[in-house]
Amino acid sequence: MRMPIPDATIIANRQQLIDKLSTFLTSKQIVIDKTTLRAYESDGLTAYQQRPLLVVLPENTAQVSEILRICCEMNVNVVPRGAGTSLSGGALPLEDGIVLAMGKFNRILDIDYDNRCVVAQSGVTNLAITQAVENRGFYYAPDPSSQIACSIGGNVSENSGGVHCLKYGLTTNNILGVELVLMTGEVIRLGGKYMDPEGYDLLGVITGSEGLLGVVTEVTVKILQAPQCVRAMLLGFPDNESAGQCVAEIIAKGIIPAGIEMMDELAIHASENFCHAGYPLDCQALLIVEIDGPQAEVDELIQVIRDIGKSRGSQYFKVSSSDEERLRIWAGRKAAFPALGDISPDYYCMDGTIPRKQLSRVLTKMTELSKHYGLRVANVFHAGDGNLHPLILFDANKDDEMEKAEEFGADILRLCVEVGGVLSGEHGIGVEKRDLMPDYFSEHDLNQQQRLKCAFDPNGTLNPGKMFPTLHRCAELGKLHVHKGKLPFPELPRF
Amino acid sequence: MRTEFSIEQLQNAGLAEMESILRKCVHCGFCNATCPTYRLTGDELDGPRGRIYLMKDMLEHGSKPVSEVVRHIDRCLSCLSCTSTCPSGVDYMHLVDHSRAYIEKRYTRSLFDRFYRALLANVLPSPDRFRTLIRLAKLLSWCRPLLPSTVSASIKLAVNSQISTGQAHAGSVFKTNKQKRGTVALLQGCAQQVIGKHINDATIRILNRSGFDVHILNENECCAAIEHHLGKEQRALERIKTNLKSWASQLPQFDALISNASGCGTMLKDYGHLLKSDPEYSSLASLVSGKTKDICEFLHENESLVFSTPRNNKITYQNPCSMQHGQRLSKQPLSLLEQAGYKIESLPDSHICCGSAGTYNILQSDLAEKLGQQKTQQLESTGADIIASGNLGCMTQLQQYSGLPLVHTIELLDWASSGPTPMALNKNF
Amino acid sequence: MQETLLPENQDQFAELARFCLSEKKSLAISGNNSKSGFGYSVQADIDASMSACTGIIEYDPAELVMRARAGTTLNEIKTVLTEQQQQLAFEPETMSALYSNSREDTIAGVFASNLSGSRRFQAGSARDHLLGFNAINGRAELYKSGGNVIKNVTGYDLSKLICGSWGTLSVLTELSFKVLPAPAVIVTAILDDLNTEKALGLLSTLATSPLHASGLALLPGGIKSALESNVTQANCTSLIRFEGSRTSVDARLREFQTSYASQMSVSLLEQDESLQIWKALSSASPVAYHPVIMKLSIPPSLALRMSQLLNEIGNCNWYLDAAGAWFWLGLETTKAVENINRFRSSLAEENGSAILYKAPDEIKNKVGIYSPAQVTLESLRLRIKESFDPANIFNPGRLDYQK
Ligand SMILES: Cc1cc2nc3c(=O)[nH]c(=O)nc-3n(C[C@H](O)[C@H](O)[C@H](O)COP(=O)(O)OP(=O)(O)OC[C@H]3O[C@@H](n4cnc5c(N)ncnc54)[C@H](O)[C@@H]3O)c2cc1C
Ligand code: SF4
Ligand code: SF4
Repeated sequence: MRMPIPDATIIANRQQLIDKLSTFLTSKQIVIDKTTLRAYESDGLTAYQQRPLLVVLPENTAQVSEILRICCEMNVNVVPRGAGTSLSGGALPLEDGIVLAMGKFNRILDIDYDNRCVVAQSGVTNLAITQAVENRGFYYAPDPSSQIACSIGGNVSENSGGVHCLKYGLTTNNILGVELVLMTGEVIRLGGKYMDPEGYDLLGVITGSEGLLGVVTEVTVKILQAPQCVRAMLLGFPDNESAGQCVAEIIAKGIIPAGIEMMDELAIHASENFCHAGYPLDCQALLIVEIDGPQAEVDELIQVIRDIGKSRGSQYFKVSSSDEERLRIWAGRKAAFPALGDISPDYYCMDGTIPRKQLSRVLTKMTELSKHYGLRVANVFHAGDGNLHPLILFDANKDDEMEKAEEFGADILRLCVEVGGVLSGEHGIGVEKRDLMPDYFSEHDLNQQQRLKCAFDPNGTLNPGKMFPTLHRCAELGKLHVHKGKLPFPELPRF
Repeated sequence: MRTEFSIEQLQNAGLAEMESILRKCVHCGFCNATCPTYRLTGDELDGPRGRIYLMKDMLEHGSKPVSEVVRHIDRCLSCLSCTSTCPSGVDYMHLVDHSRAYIEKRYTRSLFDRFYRALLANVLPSPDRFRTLIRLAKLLSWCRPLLPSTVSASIKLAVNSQISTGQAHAGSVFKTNKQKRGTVALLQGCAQQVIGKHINDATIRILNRSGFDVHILNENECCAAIEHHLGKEQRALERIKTNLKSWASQLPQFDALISNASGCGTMLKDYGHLLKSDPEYSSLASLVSGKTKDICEFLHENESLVFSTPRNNKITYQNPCSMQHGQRLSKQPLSLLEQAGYKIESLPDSHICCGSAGTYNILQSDLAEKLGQQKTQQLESTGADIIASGNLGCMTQLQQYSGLPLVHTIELLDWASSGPTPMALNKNF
Repeated sequence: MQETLLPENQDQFAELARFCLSEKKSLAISGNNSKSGFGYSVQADIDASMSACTGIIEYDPAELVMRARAGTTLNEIKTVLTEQQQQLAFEPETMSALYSNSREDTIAGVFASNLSGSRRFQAGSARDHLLGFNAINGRAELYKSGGNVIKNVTGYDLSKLICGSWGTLSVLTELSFKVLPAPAVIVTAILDDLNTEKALGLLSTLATSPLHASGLALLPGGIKSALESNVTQANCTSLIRFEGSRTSVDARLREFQTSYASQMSVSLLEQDESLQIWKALSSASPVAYHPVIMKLSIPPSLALRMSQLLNEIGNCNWYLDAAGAWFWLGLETTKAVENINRFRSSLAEENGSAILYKAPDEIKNKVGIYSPAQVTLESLRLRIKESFDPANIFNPGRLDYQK
């Protein structure tokens, strides 16, 4: 993985930049010391590290705007960072760029039950939003497994999903507005406490833009009333295939569960070890199926799902009997990635999505690849929407394992594309999948996306080196090459 | 996580242990979310993940610690909230303890810091000196605004503390007048015997009432937690060994060593780990750790208490970090309080530290004050009339900010099982 | 009227775009022109329609995804989905009543105009369901975005930009979208007893109740005749829709009646009648006969004030949907400009949108189809348009306000 060549002038101007920033930021808001800067050198993807030029911790939008204006003027790169839990290296620093850390944006600004929304600064954690409204029976639907830690601004930038997004959608379907600072320092507001803004859907395109289009300082999210009744079921299976078929059949029956997750044996064991949720340890595959809604509907569906499970050979079935138990079941699932840290020093988490019907083909191939590379792989899977999370287990202290894991990962993602899927379901491209983009997109596809980037950030100083494998200058991309065309086919049918 | 220790470094048992702790961290950042200091500053450097990274860097390079790194490690409360949160089982406690000792050895603090830390390490563990110092501090309270923040914070704490009268002597035995179920030893706590004797009294009454004879343990002043957390490793180890030596002969007769200050309990439970490779003391140390029980843990296990005078006051329970994160005890005190009839108002963010943290509210008074105020506001927002806690340090900290009475769990349990009204409640209840 | 070109596939369209680029010609792009009344009038050299590129390319109900060519009609898609008990959950309905024509909507038109119906507040609008597409940009390049799976964050989410861009950014040629199980049972509860304030209160309580009502509309008295349904003539009618399995709907209805409407007389509209009425509401039919039509999207807490303002202004008809988050509003041309400005200013910054769906050109030109935008936003919008269509060959002027 190669990052853009750092600009020596910027590095040489470090002190000048510090001086400018110090005119309106306190010393506690600028991390300068080279040793402490190292703590910022990775996000949730530790495979790559880079010490940033500086870390800056603004406290309000005016400061963000001023920082960006100065960086724009001095042509300094800026890497926005929320909670640093990205698994694709979206917040990986640059040697010639500052990290704009949004950790101080941690206040909830407005809880508006009448309009069923919450306005929060972008550094507020996903879970904190739900916690702020749960005493009134509300919650914020997207719940990435990292929800305890990840920031809502990071969620917007990655368009994060979660275990409930089959039914309730991703971040993009659950936010109403943002305040955004452009690289020039200009502040714009998109959307608000209402549904359909006018004009182009900029809010939609900001969501999932991985910090390349603007810095999110404030987010307005929808909140939902908690369902009347929620139950989680555990269904254990002797193999992945039967579990996969069970999922297909549930959906074919017209049931959209609130969540439907699958874990394989390694993941079951690691998670159970942390959360003691009562996962069956003798199963090869475990499904967690959550049903919510009116009591009568839930009771009915539990029965249906239990029967489907049985017909697919489930060897274990249990329904949560209390909310506490249900939450424990989810706590185990949500801690599944880091819990694997207990059995392997490092993991590399993949995130491809496939058409669900391809599951068994992909799993079989993955087992072969696992043998080929000599690396174990654990599988955690958002089964309802086909989003795979194979976790390749390796030891970064061993010479070539990191490289092997990377290659293995790339093979898995190529496989996803080959069967009609995509490179990333929810973790984003970042630096991790950047160089695989051409496996999925043609040059035209990528150019169009980069031109959009140019509309927001013509100098390309906001989070460069992420998402796009090759950096084109905007001037070059913007050139219009006109080829001689002819009015096609006079034989074209007309009115 | 990848580490870069050399083969020689790994031959050192201590470093090898640190390396195995570090390797478990996968840098997921979950822990930041529940770290009190990160929540205040939003700076990675003030969160566990950042601290782990800084410690890793420091230990790998074997270098002299730089002041910025020391500053951020110092700001850690050792509350261990991060450890409860971590799904990967990273043993943060031993990592930070090791690093504190590393810093203490290799880093030269300012003259004042050195003096003050030495003062704390010398005075707090010694009840006599501590008593004198409190008296002195009370006299000096008028000049607080003129003093450095650390001194000023200490004085404020002292002013809010009441020196207890009378003393239980090491070696005394309190016999049960009920049918005898066993014999336990009570750890009085160094500071607790000076300003919280009523807590020990209540503990003795309750244990007697439950059918246990109580021996007051000769602690040689302190369990060593204070020195340990200040990074004074050698002195801490010596003190532990002295303690072990003086307890060795009595140990077999005790069914349990009872601690009613969760900070001390956590320390005792760690003796075994700290001395695990000491040929002379390892087995004794692990015996002590194995026998140590928090009073609530013990009562809960023995189910021997009868609440003859149940109470129904509205209380909220502040679970000390050393209890909930250090010893992983959360349900036991709550369930006992419920059995005693109390109505428990649930506390938001109950996993977050109140800022007391041993000597933290003296050495890091600005952060401690913010945490204390935050916690108080939350405690008071529950609408409870009484705040219950299981650690004297927390109670002293919160007393500075809250108008509500602060009562040790054990006093409340005592009260509900025909004991006297807790001291803090005497006036109003 | 100019002739309309009908390319049969995306390559032909790319060729056409290349021609326009090199000859500096502009293109008016349409599906079946069912919504041509939206936006400023387009002056283009060539008209082209996607209506000849038709057909469903891929549909596997269990994958919850369908892929179709741009010109496939909405009706055809609905028919195929219904056979599999599936649906487009965002409830797109034809707008032909509004634009007084009987042309069929194409699926590309549905997405390009970001349609949505009464279920909007729960299920989102077209933009929430478009998973990916092929399109031709203003450089005559065929490109794709998104994919054919229901969860995807690979690259920018251009689907969102395309929805609601009304053919000004690219020409859609193929679209993949999410399809979901259709409810087996639909029942609408109708309440006539409440005044607007009480009704709004009830609707907003229901919007946050776990009863999961999927339609919450309110019709003032004068408007109902337009519905041609047997809803009685009361002052103000609240419509509450429940969908799902029989057991679920029955249980929720029971709870609705006991916990929310115990003292009220409730009548029920079953299946087909229910379908009909929501179809009408989703397509703005009740106000469609007015020459000027707006859709207001506001924070629901402003609904009461908005309804009072509308009644005060008079000479207009309206109904509200999505528990007060949406108003469809029909005005007469007299005083329209003044009134539109009044709504817009009452929705001061950030408090909502007021889109002019239909009006004679002179009114559009006076007030704009959108409220005036912040300068930074407007220039950003122009840069975005340029990034897709640098020579401005697609639907020139359709969304560009020129005073
Ligand atoms: C254990 C674990 C489990 C996870 N599970 C899930 C899951 O279930 N679903 C899921 O979708 N993701 C998951 N993730 C990935 C990650 O948590 C999400 O991508 C999350 O949204 C990142 O948020 P963050 O605040 O940590 O952002 P960061 O990691 O700090 O940044 C992510 C990206 O967003 C940009 N960014 C951050 N803040 C801003 C801002 N304010 N303005 C502009 N750009 C910004 C950054 O530049 C970067 O490109 C998981 C991660 C971990 C470690
Ligand atoms: S939660 Fe555990 S694994 Fe994750 S960053 Fe913190 S210490 Fe490391
Ligand atoms: S011990 Fe407490 S203060 Fe220290 S890093 Fe962990 S959570 Fe933070």
